[in-house]
Amino acid sequence: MGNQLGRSWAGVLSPMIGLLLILMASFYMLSNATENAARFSNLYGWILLINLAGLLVLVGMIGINLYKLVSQYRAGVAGSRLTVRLVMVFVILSVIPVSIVYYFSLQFLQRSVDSWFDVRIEKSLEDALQLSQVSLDLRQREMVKQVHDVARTLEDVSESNAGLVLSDWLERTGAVELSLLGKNNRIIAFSSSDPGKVVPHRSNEDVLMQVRQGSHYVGLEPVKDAGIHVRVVYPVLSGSGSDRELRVLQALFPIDQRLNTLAGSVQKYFTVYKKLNYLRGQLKNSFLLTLSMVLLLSLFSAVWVAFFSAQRLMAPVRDLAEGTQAVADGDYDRQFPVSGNNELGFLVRSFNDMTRRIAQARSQAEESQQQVEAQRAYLEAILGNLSSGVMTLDHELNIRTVNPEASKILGMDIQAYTGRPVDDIVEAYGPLRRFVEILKPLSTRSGLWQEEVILFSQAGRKVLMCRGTTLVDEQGGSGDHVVVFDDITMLVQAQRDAAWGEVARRLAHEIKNPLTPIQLSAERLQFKFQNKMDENDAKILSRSTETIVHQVESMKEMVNAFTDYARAPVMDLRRIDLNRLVYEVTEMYRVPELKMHHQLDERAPMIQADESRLRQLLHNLIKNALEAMGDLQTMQIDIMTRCMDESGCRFVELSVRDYGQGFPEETMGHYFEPYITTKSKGTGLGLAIVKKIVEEHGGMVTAENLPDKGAIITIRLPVLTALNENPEQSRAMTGAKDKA
Amino acid sequence: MFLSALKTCSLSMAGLLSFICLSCYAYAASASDRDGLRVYSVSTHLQGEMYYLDAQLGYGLSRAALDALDNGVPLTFELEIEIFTPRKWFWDKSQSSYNYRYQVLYHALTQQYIVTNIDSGIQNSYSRRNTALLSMGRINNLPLLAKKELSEDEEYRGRIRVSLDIDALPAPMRPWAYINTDWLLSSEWFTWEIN
Repeated sequence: MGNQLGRSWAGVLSPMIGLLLILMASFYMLSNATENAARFSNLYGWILLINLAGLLVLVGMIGINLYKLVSQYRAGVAGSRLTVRLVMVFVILSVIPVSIVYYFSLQFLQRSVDSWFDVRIEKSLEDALQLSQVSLDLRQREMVKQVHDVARTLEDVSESNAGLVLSDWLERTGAVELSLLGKNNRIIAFSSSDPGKVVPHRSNEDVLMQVRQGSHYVGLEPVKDAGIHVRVVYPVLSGSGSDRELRVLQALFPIDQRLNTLAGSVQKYFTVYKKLNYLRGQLKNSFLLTLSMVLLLSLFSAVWVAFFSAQRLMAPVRDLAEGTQAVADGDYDRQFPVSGNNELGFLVRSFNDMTRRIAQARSQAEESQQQVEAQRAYLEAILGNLSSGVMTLDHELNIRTVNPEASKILGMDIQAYTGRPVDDIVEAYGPLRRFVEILKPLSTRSGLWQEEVILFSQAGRKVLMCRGTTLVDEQGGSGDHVVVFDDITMLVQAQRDAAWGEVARRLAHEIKNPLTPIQLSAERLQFKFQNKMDENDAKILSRSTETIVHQVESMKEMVNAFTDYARAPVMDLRRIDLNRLVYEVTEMYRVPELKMHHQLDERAPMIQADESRLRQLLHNLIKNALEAMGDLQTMQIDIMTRCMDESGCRFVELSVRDYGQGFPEETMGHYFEPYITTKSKGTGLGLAIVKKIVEEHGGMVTAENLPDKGAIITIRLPVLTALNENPEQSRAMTGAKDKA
Repeated sequence: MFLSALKTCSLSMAGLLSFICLSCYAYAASASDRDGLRVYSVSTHLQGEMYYLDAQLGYGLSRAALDALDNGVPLTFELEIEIFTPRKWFWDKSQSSYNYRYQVLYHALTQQYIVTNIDSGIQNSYSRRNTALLSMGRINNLPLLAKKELSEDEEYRGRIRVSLDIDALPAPMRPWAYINTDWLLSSEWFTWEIN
């Protein structure tokens, strides 16, 4: 690129230097021509035109440069202002000295040209001329006398003899030419010292006319290549009477060689001086013209060189300015040609190094960023595929990041709330209130924590295991909080199922096996010893063995109940009208001692449930209520269904209320655990099975004593709008039971 | 003194600028409509096998030209003669052209005006300027062209013009002479028929 630049400069400079050389040469010729040098004088006009054209070309180039510069200045092109200043400085620096030189040259020229001319010289030359004329005048008078004599002689000479007479006189007078003209200027006789000459050197018409009128003529006459001659023309009246004719005698005399030379010299220099004097003004003007054209050439050249130099000088600066702008705009790939080893070259080199390094740094930064992005994407992929929900909050509890699983677990698009306070979630989706409540203390708490949250939403009951910690920021202070939570609903249920399954299996194994031998042994005791005992003993034995057998039977039932509890039948979910099912089941308990009071909500929608399991649930609830009121005369059970629409979650509530003693205080909180019973009868598994069935259906069950009398057990079952609306949940439930 | 020099300087610069600016105008300006050089009459006659030309020219010189002549500056005039065949729809076809140059010069010692035919070298002296110019304007029996050079079937015309040769002036005078109408002396083309 540097070579290209060099070539471009050379491409501009070469023609300009050529033009300047041509102009200088033509100026040289012009100045010579002004001084009348013959070889250039003929070309004067052309030289003048060439110089003018050259100057016009220069003016044109300067004009183009000026136009470009002004355009760049107006457009605010980088470096243009400095270029303008440089050009102005260069121009001023060149114009001032050139103008001074021009001024003094003019002075010198004026004085020089004027000094050539002097009145005294002029006067002396005129005197010399007059002297010459006077001296020649004397010679002319002598010659007139001689011609007069010749004319007298010719008056009586016939035309035929005239030639001889003239020849004779030619020698005697020393004339170079004698000729006699007749009427109509007819040549009568002619005699010349030059034998080759046959025609006389004629006088002009005016002279002849003057002579024919009777007077004579004498005058000096320059003859080509022969110097000054004296011409004498004299009238000759020849013949007599009617033949009288006015003839004209022409004589051409040479003058003395020395006199001729001197007079010629005087004439020559007088003419030269007079001509020069006459041309003085024009000469000055010509010199002025030459000088002015040289001045203009110098000025224009200087101006052009000023443009050229300024642009040349400013090129790297402009490049640097553009480069800096480009760097500011983010383009780090600019490299500029280094021009020379000067400071500007050093600057350009430094700039090139800088941009190269910046470009390298940027590419490294981009690489790092790409790596960070890749790691981030990797992390996001991990978080995205994580089965746990992960949420980070800043210290003001604004949501910073959420993974997709978190939204899935919480049942709403949490990612849409990124950057917003965590409270906004509750406003949009009420069931998450408990979840948000455990997050609130984070603003004041730090360190590791763990908490279990139970949510109840349209999708059912959910147990979330939340763990969190506070991240330590770069300054060592507490920063963001990270919360990881898992949906452990199924896990909890499965664990419980598994635990009770194990209990059931132990019971089956440890209790059920000895029951049969006990029963058989009791029956054998009765069979063997009943007949051998007296009647009273036999009755006692019989009662005892029956008691043993009954108790063993009841223990077997109890073990079977545990087996029922432990087993995990496949759920058969169907659309069920809960009200209808309630009617069907309560119909079986319709006895006079029992008041069955229904408050069934007709608006209650269909639910998705296993009918046989719900029947078992209802039986267990009614049995529990009956057992709670076992010693009362009048028993009453209130069964209510309601369509609840709480926090945007639709579910059906089923309540069974008895009017018994209520749950004892000591069992508070453990009503639904196996073996928790205060009743004399029963396995203690009734409510445990109820809870199990409710949880299998994704519902919730609560029990509480009423302030006036009795207790109420409330079951909430989620409403599913379609059979296949939540097949995953159905499958999950089934899987959990399979495990159990 | 400085002011006068500055004035001279500025005047010369102004003169130069006006020289540059007016050059175009000056070349376009015609001097032939003034009392300058004229061609009064021209005729040709056949004498033997040769055509001869007679012409009467008028050298009405400007004051500046006469002044220069009296101060020893020789004036050179150029006589251009062209024989051509006129064509209606195209440029005239040139048959032949001739150039003759005459010089008039004042000889101070002899106080004579010398008219020289530069081509032939013949020179004549005249004691009066007007006589010299008149005599220069009289052209008699100037051999023009041979009869055989012309075809009898064609129509021929001649045209003549006389002009002052500025390039023959001394160099210092030329720049101004090129642009000064006093010096741009030239007659119109004068056309005549050749029989």
